[in-house]
Amino acid sequence: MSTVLLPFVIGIAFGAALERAGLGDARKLTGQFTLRDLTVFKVMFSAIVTAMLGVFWLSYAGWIDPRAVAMPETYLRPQIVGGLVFGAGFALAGLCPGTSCVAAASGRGDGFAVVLGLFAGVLASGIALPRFADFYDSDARGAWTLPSLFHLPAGAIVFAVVIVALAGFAAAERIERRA
Amino acid sequence: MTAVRLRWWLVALALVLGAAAAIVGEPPRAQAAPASVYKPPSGC
Repeated sequence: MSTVLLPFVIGIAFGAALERAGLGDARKLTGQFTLRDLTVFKVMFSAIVTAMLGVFWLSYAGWIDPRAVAMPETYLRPQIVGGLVFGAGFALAGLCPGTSCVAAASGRGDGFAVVLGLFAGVLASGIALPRFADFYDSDARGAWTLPSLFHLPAGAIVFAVVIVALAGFAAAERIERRA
Repeated sequence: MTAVRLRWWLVALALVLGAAAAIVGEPPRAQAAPASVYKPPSGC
């Protein structure tokens, strides 16, 4: 399949799965911040565990080379600031970039508004980039990974993340029952 | 199969695959390191 068609099909499937999980609805997403509905946490952590186990065992089987997967580099302070800005926007809009596209595709007006805000923000930060380019490129740490950070084999980290995820799911269910 | 039972099967599968990964340690590397073919997107 072509390099255009396959990502398109995967994107449609991803969007359909997000919509089916209810993640195109801002009310469901803001439940994350009020601790009433932790679906986002559970969906995202499930995806992380699935992808992590898949990458580990497919590389073990020799089907994929993990070194072929580009590792985004860590710029610690700029990414902390970026994460805070992202979180504030997420809490304010009730949608993140992916879910805003899903909401817009399913005809929700707030989804269209957030997509417009998303592109306006991209344009504004692109125009303003020269003003904060030094900060943007500061505090470079290279491609950080948990195994390199903790000096542990990848398999040990995989197991630890699975345990943390399962404990997180149990805690999330308990929090939701109390809400 | 009910959703609850499926969930417990998935929990068991994740635990087995995770524990086996801890035993294996590191996946063997491929012979050559090809150029990066995938750039992960940012955000969710």
